[in-house]
Amino acid sequence: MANLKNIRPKALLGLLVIVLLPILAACSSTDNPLTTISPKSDVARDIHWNYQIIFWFAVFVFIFVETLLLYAVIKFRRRPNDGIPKQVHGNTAMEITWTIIPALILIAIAIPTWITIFEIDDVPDDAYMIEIVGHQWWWEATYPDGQVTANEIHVPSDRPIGFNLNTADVLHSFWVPQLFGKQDIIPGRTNTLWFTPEVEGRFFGQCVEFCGISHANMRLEMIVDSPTVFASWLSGIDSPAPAAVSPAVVAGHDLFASKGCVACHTISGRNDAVGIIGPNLSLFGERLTLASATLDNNTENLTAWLKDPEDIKPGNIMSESAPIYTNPDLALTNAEIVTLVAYLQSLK
Amino acid sequence: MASAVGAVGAAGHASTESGVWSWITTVDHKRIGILYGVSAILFFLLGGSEAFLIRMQLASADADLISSGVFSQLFTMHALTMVFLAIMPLGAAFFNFLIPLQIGARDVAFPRLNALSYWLFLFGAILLNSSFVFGGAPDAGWFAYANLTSSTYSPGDSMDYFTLGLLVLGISSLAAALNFVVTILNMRAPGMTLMRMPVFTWMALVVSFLLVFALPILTVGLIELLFWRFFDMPFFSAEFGGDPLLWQHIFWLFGHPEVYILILPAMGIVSEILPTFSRKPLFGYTAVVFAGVSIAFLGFAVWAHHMFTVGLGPVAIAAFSASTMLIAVPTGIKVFNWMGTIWGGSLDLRTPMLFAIGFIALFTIGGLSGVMHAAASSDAQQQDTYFIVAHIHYVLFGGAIVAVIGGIYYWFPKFSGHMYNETVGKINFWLMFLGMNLTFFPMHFLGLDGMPRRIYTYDANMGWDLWNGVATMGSLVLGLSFLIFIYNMVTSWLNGEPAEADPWDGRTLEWSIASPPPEYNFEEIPIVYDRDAWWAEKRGKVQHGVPVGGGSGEEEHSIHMPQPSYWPIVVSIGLIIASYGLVYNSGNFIVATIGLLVGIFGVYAWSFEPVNDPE
Ligand code: HEC
Ligand SMILES: [Cu+2]
Ligand SMILES: [Cu+2]
Repeated sequence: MANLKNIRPKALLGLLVIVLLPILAACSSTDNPLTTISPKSDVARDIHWNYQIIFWFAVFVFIFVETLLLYAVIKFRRRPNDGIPKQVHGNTAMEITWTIIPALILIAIAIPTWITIFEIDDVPDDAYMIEIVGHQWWWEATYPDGQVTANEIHVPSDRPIGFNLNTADVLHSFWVPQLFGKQDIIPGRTNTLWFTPEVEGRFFGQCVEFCGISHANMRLEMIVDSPTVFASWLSGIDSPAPAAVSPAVVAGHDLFASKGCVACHTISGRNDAVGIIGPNLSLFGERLTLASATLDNNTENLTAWLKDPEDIKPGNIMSESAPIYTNPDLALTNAEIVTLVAYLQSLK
Repeated sequence: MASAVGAVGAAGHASTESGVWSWITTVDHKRIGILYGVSAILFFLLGGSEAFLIRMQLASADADLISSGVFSQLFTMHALTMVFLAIMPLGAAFFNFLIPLQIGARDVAFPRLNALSYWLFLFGAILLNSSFVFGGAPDAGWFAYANLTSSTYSPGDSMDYFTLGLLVLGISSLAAALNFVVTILNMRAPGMTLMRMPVFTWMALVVSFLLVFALPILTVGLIELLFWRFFDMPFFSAEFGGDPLLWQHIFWLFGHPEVYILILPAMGIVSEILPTFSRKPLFGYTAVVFAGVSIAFLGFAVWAHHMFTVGLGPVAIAAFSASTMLIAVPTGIKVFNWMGTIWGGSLDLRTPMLFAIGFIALFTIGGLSGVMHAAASSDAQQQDTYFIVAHIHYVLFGGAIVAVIGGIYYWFPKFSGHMYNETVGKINFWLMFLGMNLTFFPMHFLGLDGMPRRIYTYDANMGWDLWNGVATMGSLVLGLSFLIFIYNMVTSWLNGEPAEADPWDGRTLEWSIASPPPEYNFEEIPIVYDRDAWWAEKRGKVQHGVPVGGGSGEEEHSIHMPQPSYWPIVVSIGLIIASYGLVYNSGNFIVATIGLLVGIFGVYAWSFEPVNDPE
């Protein structure tokens, strides 16, 4: 064994790093909105099982190799009266050993991997299918009975949920890590994805395929509701927006048409608002977030969004092509924004 | 006509020994190697600065330092610069300088083609980077996935700079690779059988073959992209019957072998440093060589692991999972043989050795995370997150760059004729090792915490601040270590103590000649009797007796060296004019045609240039 007194400080530093790394591996948190290590569905749990097996094998090999390396460096470092060491050219038995043992470890990893790959592949027949369309830079969801919503996708907690994934423009990738692994969305093909929820709650997601300038701001929320809550939410989309109540809401209702918002946005119950370039705003007043989950949905943020969407999401299609933002003469006044906010918040 | 061109050609090799002109017209493999090395380091600085800006923007949530558009250009150009303008040409620098020295030759097989490779690389690099000033650099990622790259979603010239830049760089690398293949196969000294070749040269051979097979694939893809953008040929657009996934298959069928093109030279370097400073031969030479060869073969059978989430279906995914895991076997063989090399040795922990050992420690981490995402189902949670960013940087920084810097220290006496400063070198290593781990290790946590790649901003409530802050701090340390490296190189080259021919008690032929080597390298072509030829000769332990292979081994009485030539640079200039012409083609191809004509004239004149020594 190496005489510990001879270990130089830098070797100790190396030792420290090597011992610390696995400890640090515990440094990922399960509280983060996008955590990948806190599964909340059957599919996510399968993936996590697969991940953990591999993770512990990796930690084991890591410690083994790094310790061996460190030991060798300390033990065999040159000492003042070292001669020429024995000129060893190789050893067949050892070559075979360190070919076979890693191969066995890989088989031990491959088997659970294959099991998981096939297990999570097929969408179950009884899945509740939702159509997802990725747009630069927001998400559209269409339910089996035709209801449409955007960015905040509700699902019922009592059965498998499936998605058919399509894109309106470029590649995107659909990912809510606590519920399922990501699936890319490719023009010209329909990919599928599924999971069965295990708990109710809000789950965060994000587009993870680079899709242009506001890729970082293409986020989403998936809300797992109890079956009854889900049913009433869904029927809420169909029932027409409530009759205008306050004068501001009435004014906002009219501005929504006269300012051209209707060209791009649909609101159920309004025959004039059937645009499909932007998100469906039918239940917008109930939404928890805004602009594909980049902001909380409150008066302040909504005002900021209508004032200068470009500042919040660079390049977004609304600020790029809505006349109110491209033509300074048509720009919204603060008073108009107040009424529009009131109107949008009344959509419940 | 022919004689007229011949006369022009003959003027092409009026040469002087030093000065700028001699460097422009040089065909000496050592000078070209140095040109490659110095340019690549400058581009490494550029790519590093881009990375540093990225790290500054991401240091905390909701930062406002860099706009989203510029950020996209930075991460795209950072990757392109590091891959094509730094690590690959650093490999080429080593190949150029060392292959002839290690195999006992006086130059490469095609010295003027070699010069052409360099000039095309330099001008291609300038072309690509000039997009920053001419309206914006490529910003669709270095992988440039269709259909974001179409003229609809990427209007403007940035993607044309990408296509033409990479095409030019591809020609450069392909020419260089063919040159090295021919050199290694045909110009070895008498007695140097393939299985007596230094491992570095072996890896150079493998990499050159990889390039010869992989680059044409990329070229096909780039030409399709170009035709799509210029002439609306819809190779990659689904609405006209093309397929965006076709691009991904093409790109990664090139892109995965490319990973080995980047890492195998590093493995070769480490396989030279470890034996020298352990004073032992490489353990399991044959196994290490064949592991390298099988990595290269397997490298063509794993590309779809970059596409686990595109919807290939479970059978294909399971198969590519398995083939990817398989690569861990030859990689493991290499690591264990390196371990076997230092085991029982007498380790001289000088700077190059520290870098080589650091390489093993860091590359192992990158290899293990590689196996982790070879498991496709688990990868569905890691793909396109910072976990992958951590992985590639452990492989390409902890692996390729650390080994290359170690290699620069190792051969510095041979390159420059001077010794580097050992103390500064050690400080360089420890800072780089620390900075590297501080920067990239936390990215594993960020990935597991779900942080996607290529986002220019993130929300404070995501919980990513801490590790991003640490990573940015680490990048400061890394930057500092790199400045120390440059300082050491520059001051040592200017004032370092003169180097002996064989300062490390080396094992391979390059240590048998003066530092720096004379223009003709070997006064007498050596005869090789053994692996580690120089070590065997020094110790009088020639084991195998008779040399094998061609050559007389008799002293040659006059040494013929290739003449300098300016035609390679003329051809390169022609191709670059053509490229700019295509970028700005706006309906006419006049400039492109002029450029092509210049290039064709250059090649024509070149082929009439007398090669022989006029004496
Ligand atoms: C040119 C089409 C267009 C016009 C006109 C337009 N929008 Fe939009 N709007 C969009 C698009 C596209 C988005 C999605 C932007 C994003 O998140 O990338 C959007 C998003 C929104 C959102 C956020 C939706 C969500 O899911 O979070 C609100 C609210 C909104 N618009 C309100 C308005 C109002 C009010 C007007 C009229 C004053 C208007 N829009 C005019 C296209 C348009
Ligand atoms: Cu995206
Ligand atoms: Cu790969």
